[in-house]
Amino acid sequence: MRAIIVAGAFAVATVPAVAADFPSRPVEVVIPFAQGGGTDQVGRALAEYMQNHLGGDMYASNREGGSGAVGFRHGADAEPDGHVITMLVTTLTTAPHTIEGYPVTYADFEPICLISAPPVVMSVKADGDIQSVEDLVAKAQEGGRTLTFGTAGPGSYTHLAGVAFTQAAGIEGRFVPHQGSSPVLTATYGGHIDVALSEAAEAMPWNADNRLKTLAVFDDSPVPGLDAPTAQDQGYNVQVGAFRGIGAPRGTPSDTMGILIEACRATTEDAAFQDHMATLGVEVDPIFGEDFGSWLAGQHETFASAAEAAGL
Amino acid sequence: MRLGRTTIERLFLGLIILLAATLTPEAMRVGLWRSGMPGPGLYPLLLLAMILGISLVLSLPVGAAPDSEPPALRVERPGDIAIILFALVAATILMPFLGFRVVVLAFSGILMVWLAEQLTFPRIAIITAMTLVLSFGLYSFFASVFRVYLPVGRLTGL
Amino acid sequence: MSDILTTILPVLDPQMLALLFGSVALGIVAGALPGISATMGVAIASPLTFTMDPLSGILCLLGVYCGAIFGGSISAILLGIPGTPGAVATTFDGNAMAKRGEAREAIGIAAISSFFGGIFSALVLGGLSYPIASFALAFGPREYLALVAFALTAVASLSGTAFLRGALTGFLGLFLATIGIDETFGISRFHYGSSYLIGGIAFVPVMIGLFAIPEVLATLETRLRAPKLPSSKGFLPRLTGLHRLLPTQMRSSVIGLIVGAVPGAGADIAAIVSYAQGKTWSRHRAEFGKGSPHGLASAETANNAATGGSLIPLLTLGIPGGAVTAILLGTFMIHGLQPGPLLLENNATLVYQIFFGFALANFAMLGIGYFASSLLGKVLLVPQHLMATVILVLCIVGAYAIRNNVSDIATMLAVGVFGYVLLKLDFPRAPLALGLILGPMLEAEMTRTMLVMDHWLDFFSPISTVIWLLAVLVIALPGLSRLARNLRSRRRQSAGMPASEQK
Repeated sequence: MRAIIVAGAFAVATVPAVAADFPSRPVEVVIPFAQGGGTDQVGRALAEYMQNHLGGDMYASNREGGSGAVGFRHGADAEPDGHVITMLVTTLTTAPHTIEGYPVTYADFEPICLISAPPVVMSVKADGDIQSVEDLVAKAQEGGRTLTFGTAGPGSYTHLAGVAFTQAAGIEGRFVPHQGSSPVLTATYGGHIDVALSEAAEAMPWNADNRLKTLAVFDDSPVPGLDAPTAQDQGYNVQVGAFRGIGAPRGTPSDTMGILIEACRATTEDAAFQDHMATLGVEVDPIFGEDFGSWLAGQHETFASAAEAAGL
Repeated sequence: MRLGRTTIERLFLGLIILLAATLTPEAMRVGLWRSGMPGPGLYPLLLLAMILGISLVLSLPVGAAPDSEPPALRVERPGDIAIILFALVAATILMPFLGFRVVVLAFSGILMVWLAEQLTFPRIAIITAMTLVLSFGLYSFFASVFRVYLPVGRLTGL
Repeated sequence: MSDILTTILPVLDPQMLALLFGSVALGIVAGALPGISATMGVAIASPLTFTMDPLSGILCLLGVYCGAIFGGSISAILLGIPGTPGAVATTFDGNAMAKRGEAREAIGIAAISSFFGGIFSALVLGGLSYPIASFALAFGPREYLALVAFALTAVASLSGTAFLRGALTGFLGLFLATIGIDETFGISRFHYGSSYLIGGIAFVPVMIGLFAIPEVLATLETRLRAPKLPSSKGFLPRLTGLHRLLPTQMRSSVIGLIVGAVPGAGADIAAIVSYAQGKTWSRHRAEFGKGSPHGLASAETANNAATGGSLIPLLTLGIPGGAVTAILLGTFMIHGLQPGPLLLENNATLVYQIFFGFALANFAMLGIGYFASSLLGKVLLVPQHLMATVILVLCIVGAYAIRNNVSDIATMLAVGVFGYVLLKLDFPRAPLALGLILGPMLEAEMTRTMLVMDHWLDFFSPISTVIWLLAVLVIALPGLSRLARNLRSRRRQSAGMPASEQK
């Protein structure tokens, strides 16, 4: 008997409070990748801080699989009422060009905001015989052995950055894919591969304790906290980077979008959120709404040409 | 149902061989060799070849275990097993539409009633309580403690 | 002496101890629930640590981690559903023991074995981290490939005499792992246009379908009456005879620690490899799979030893070896700490506090597990019709919760039916699980090895050659010893000894 009353109480408790406004129930932040990765950490932090500014609970859910295909597809197919938002990351703009049959593109989403856009950097073992980009190019041109470049995965932005660089420098490179950037940095330090391609934030700790040396930043300005010149400065105009933002399903009404965009703006201006992101090495550099949309389209095109150039 | 064990086994292995054969074209389609190294299809093709080969060997009379007669294959209570499987299939199909709570309420209620040997009054009360705990109770527990939201039905909103 | 005291005192502070105890308890519950894996438990707890001080935050997550790895054994033993991937090998003997009415003993053994493995790894972590970490750094693609091959040899021992059948299911598992996007070229394979399959086959639904569903169906067939109350009275499991498990636990701890320390391999692989090694070498190997405490101990000691093991590359080199350590890495960074060679130099006190706290967490886990075993054991007195239904509902929850994907329930069901057929036809199912877990690693390392090789002979390196030889040895040894025994008995036969006196 008691069990039934308790069970009944549970049932009543879960009926959401009647509210005409958005959000009327907890908002899901879809993370199209597994727990522990960079996107997961940013996504969980975002959910944690943004819920204070949105006026409703937010929770993160991991829906990994197919290089993000599963999660992105779920987010794109969700009810366009704003209760399911998705982490939009670089893979969304690279995978359609490199993975056959990739079922989703940036056009399936309404852009809410861009949170950060870190560039790719190139690093080598600190005590090795390569100490600068010139050394690298020279060694590659020496012949004898093709240099190995570690990437975070086939067709990933790290791979595309590497291809863009080797083409600009006119050298050969063998691209070795890994599961994410962390194994790449480890393998480079262990001497198993020659060059590591990764995000700036991931390479920073390895630079700080002198295990790896970052040779170049693939952006138009150097990264604060990282003592490395841009590739442009050394004569190779390569600018490839990653990004992390959020989006809602296409067709979400504009007033709901307005609420979400405002909440995101408030979150990026939240000092606690900024501090948290800083400790993760993420530089918050927001772009909102429509602007983010056009920026995304630009990224999609950039990667389209990069992929073509790479022969993928 | 009394089909000979070796016959059933051969049928099973035959199905596996058929499956492996059906999958082979796809393995070849994605490419066995690509840019100077083994392509994405080569490794799966080798696996399929091993699966085919081993299944063939096992289905030959020589390949079978040479020791004592294998025990006869029996499925006890095939009715119960069939009901359970049917219920599971129905639950899986209906889950996206009716949601976790409704489906599990029905599923557990039906199964517990079917499997119970006698339906005495106290049992019915326990079954009712358990179905509520398993459906609504589990849903609330996972949602509140772990922020894991079990499926919500498109049609029912539950 | 006073140095040591000042270091560990903050860990012994009542608030910290309460937090540690609470985290371990939460972890145990999370691990015991099918559907919440250890990784999920840690991920869910991590936002809670944002506002804590570094030591509390990290110890909280470590508590959840080791609690969850033990907790997985609870549902594995009682329900036959591995609560976390690390508990797959626990199902084999743990569930069999529970069916004999020894659920309480099984959980007690699981608690003690988990404790043994955890403390062992904590001690190694405290003492030998740097040598082990440097060793782990030497692992490149060739070494990883050799390691995966070594782990795959477990198929042999997991299949027993039905080697060919085990090989078949093993290859099936390896094949299942190829469905989805290929890691080297980014080409998607065998998905036939389905946006579900493009994501690949997830391990947890397969694990639940392969082991839990056939057991439920088989149990219903035989309509087992609820097991009688354990013969021994008293509240706690018996302590006598536990010392006999020590050799098994020692061996499993070492295996678990090494596998855990290798980035990319975690508690799940550790448990299976340890179980398989136990089945190859242990004196009690004939009993493995039928409810042997040694089988249970092999699995549970290894998976907890892997928890400490995985901390070694993280704390010494800043390398996260898996999802949980990646989350831990993030937590360190949020609190302004950078794991790596400099961590010990700059924050020695904190590091030793972490080691100590981790050891304490294992004590908490032992206490909770041991004392809860009696209560938990009673769960099995629930009548069959209720139990089967509860298990099936938990299977559904478990299959869904891991990726929030409804289609995973369908996968679990399909694999469940297949697993039932395998059970009925006497095909070993464990190799399929092993193939699925190791498949991606095998292919990826093969490819990477080929990419870094400059010429054919470059395939072998000092470490990888040793591992390959070990792998060959493990496969060949049982066969060789059987050959030796046959030769010996034939010699005696020809010498005129009656058959009954031949060894």
